[in-house]
Amino acid sequence: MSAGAPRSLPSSGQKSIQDICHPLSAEESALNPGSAAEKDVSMPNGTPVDTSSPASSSSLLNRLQLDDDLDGETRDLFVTVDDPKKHVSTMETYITYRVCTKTTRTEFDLPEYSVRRRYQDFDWLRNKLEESQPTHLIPPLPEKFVMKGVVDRFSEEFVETRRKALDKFLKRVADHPVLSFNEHFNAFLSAKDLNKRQGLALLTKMGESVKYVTGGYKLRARPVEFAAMGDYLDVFTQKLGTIDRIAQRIIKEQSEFLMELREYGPVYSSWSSFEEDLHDPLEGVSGCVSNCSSALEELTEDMSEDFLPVLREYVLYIESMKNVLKKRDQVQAEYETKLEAVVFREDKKTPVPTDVEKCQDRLECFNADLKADWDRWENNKRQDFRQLLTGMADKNIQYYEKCLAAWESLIPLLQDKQEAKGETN
Amino acid sequence: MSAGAPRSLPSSGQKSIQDICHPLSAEESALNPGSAAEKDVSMPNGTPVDTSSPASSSSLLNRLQLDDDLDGETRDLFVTVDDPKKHVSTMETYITYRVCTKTTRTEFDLPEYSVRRRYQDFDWLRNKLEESQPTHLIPPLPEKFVMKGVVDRFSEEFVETRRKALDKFLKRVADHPVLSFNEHFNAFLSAKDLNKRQGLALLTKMGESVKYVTGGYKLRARPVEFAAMGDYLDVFTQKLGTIDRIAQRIIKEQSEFLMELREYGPVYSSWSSFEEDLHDPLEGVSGCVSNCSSALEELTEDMSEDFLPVLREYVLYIESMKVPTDVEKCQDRLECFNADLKADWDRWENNKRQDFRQLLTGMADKNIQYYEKCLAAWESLIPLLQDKQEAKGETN
Repeated sequence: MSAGAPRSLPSSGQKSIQDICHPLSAEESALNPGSAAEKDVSMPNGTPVDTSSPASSSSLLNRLQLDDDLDGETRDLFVTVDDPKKHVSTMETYITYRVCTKTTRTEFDLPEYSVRRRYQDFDWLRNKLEESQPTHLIPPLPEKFVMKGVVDRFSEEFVETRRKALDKFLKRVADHPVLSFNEHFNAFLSAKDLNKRQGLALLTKMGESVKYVTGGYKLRARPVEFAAMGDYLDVFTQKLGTIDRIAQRIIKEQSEFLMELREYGPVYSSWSSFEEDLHDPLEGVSGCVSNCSSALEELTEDMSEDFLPVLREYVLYIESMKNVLKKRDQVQAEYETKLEAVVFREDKKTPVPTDVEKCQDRLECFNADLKADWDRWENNKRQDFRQLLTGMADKNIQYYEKCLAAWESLIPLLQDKQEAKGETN
Repeated sequence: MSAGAPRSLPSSGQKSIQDICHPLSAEESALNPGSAAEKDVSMPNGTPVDTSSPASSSSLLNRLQLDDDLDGETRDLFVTVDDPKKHVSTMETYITYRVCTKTTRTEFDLPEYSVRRRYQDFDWLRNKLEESQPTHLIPPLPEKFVMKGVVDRFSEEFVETRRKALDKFLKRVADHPVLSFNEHFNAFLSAKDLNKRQGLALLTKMGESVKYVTGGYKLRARPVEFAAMGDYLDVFTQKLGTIDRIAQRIIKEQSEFLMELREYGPVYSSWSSFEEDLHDPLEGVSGCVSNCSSALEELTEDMSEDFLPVLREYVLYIESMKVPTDVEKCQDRLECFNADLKADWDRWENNKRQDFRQLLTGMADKNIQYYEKCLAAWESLIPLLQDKQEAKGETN
C-alpha cells in the first residue's frame, strides 16, 4: 500500500459517478446495469470506499471493460512492443525492444512515446506492480532464465517468442483499470531512462512481495469461491505440466524421425539413377519424402516456439496467482483473529476498534479486486487457449495438406508408366 | 540336367515352328518380330538347339508371353496358395497351406488339384528346381529361419506374410515356360503325399545349387552383359539393404511416437472435464490425436507387413541369382546357359518392374490414406473453435 495517492481521473468526468457501476465488478457491469444506480461510490458489499487507498474506486472510475468487449471509443491507452535490437557492450550483450505508447490520458505529458526497454526493465516493472498492487493479479512475464547452451538467447525465434510475450504482458497491464494507472507503469512507458531508484527488489516468485502482511495468522477456512479458484489452479497446473512434458518428448521423437527421413529420401534418388522405367517414380518418392520432412520440421518448430511458451507462461501465471490467493488468506486470517479478540471482549461494550475495521476493509477490497481479476483472468485464459488450439489445428492442417499433396503428386508418375505400356491398372 | 525329356506340348500346334520365335528371347519376341522367321529352331545366336536338353525349344514351344502381357487364352496353369492351418503333433507344431491348381495341360492327370503343403515342401521343390534347371533363375522363397523369441512363427501377420510370398513363388514358377513343366513341380502340385525320395538337398542360398559344376566351368561369352547384370545386382542389393535398414528405424521411431501420442490425447480429455467454455475444443483435440494415432499405427503396420517383405524377398532373389564366374564348360552348353539366363534376366527385370511399381503405388496409397485421415481429424476441430467465437460475438 505504498504507491501513493492516485491522481484524479479526468475521464471520470464523462459520466456522473452514480451512473458508473463499480469498475471492479466486471461481471456486474455486464450483467447488472441496475447496480450502477448507487448514490455513493461504494464497494459491492456496501462498504464505503476509501478513495485514498490504491484499491479505491476513484482510481477505478473508468468504465470497466473486458478485453474482448473493448469499444474503440473508450480505450485511451495503446501500447506495443516491437523492433528487437541487439546491443553489444564491453560488459555484456543484450536485446532491447521498442515500447510505443499512444494515449489521450492526462496522466501522461505527451500523447505519444517511444522508448527502448530490455527484459530487466519489464521484470522491474512487474515487481513494482506486485509490490504496489498486492490485491491484484499481475500478468506474467516470459521466463527469465534460459539454460545457456540449450537455448540461443539471440536467435530470431527466441527473441520473437519473447517479444510476443512482453507485448502481451504490457497490453494486459494497459487494459487493466487499476494497474494501467500505476505510476511505475507510467514511468516505464514514458521515461527516457528508467530510474530504478528503488532498485531491483530482490523479490522471489514465492510471495515475499506482500510487505504489508505481518503474517503468522492461521486461516480457518478459505471461502468456497476462493477455495474453488485454488483447486482449479492446482488441476490446471498439473494438466499443463503433463502436456508440457509429453509435448517435449513428442518434439524429440519428431526430430529423431526427421533425421531418419533425411537419410531415407536420398536413397531412392540414388537408386533411381540405376533404373530406367522406375527412374521417375523413385525420384518422385525421394522428392516426396523431402517435402514431408520440411513440413514436419515446420510443425515441430511451431510446437516448440508457439505452443510450449504459452503453456509455460500460464504455469508461471498460476504460481503468482496462487501467491495472491495466499496473501488474501493472510489478510482474512488477520482480520478473523483480530475480530475474535474483539468479540471476546464484547461484554465490555467497547466499540469495534478502527484497526479491526481497517482489516475488514482491506479484506473486502482484496476479495473484490481478486474476484474481478479472476474473471478477467478467466476471459484471458479462454481467449489464449482458444487461440492456442486454433493455431495447433491450423498448423497440423497445413502439415497434413502438404504431405498429402506430396504423395498425391507421385500417383501420376506411376500411372503414366502403366498407361504408356498399355497395361491395365 | 537330370529332369528327363519334357513331353510334347499340344499347344505348339497352333503355330508352325518357324513362326514361333525363340521363347526364351522375351525381348526379341516383343521387339523383333522379324527374328521369328528363322528356318530352324535355334538360339538367338544361331546355335542349333538340342531338343533333348531341358533348355530345348521343344519344351519351350509355348508362345512366350511376359506375365503382364498374358492373354487369358494361352495361360493354362493357375495356382494359388491359401488357407493356412496349424498342425499340432507330439513331435512338432507347424503350419500347412492349401495349394490349389487348375490346368488344361495334359501333363496333369486331372484338371484340378488341392493339396496341403508345408514350408519344408516348398523348400524341397526349390532345391529340386535349382538342381534340375541350373541354367535358370529360380524365384526365391521367403526366409526359412526365424529367430525364436523375436518373431512369433504362428502369429497371423507372420503366417500371412509367408503365405503371400509362397503364393508369389508358385505363381512365378507356374508362369515360367520351362520351370512350369518340371516334373518335380508337377508332383508338388498333384501328389497327395510328396515322396521326397531324393531327400532335402542341403543347399545353401549362396550358389552351391549349381551342382553340375564339377569340372570348373567358365563363363566366357558376353562378359560385358553379365558384368553389367552383376554390377546392377550389387547396386540394387545395396540400395534395398539401405532402404530396409532405414525403414526399420523409421518403424521404430513411429512406434515410439505412437506411445507418446497415446499418452498425449487423454490429457486433453481429462483437462476438458475441468473446463466449461474450452470443454468441447479440448475433447476435440483428444479425439483428434486418437484418430491420428490409429491412422499412424495402420501406416506403420503396412510398412512392416507389406513393404519390407517385398524388399527382403528381392534381396533373397538376388542372392540366388548371383552366377558364379568361374564356370567353364563346352561352348554349346555355355551358350545354352547364356540364353536361358538372359531370357530369365529379362523375365526377372519385368517382374521387378511390376513388383516395384506395385510397391511404390501401395506406398503412395497408404500414405495418402494416412494423411487424409489425419487432415480430416484436425479439420473437424475447427468448427468446435469457431462456434464458440461466434456464440460469444467475438470477431475471429
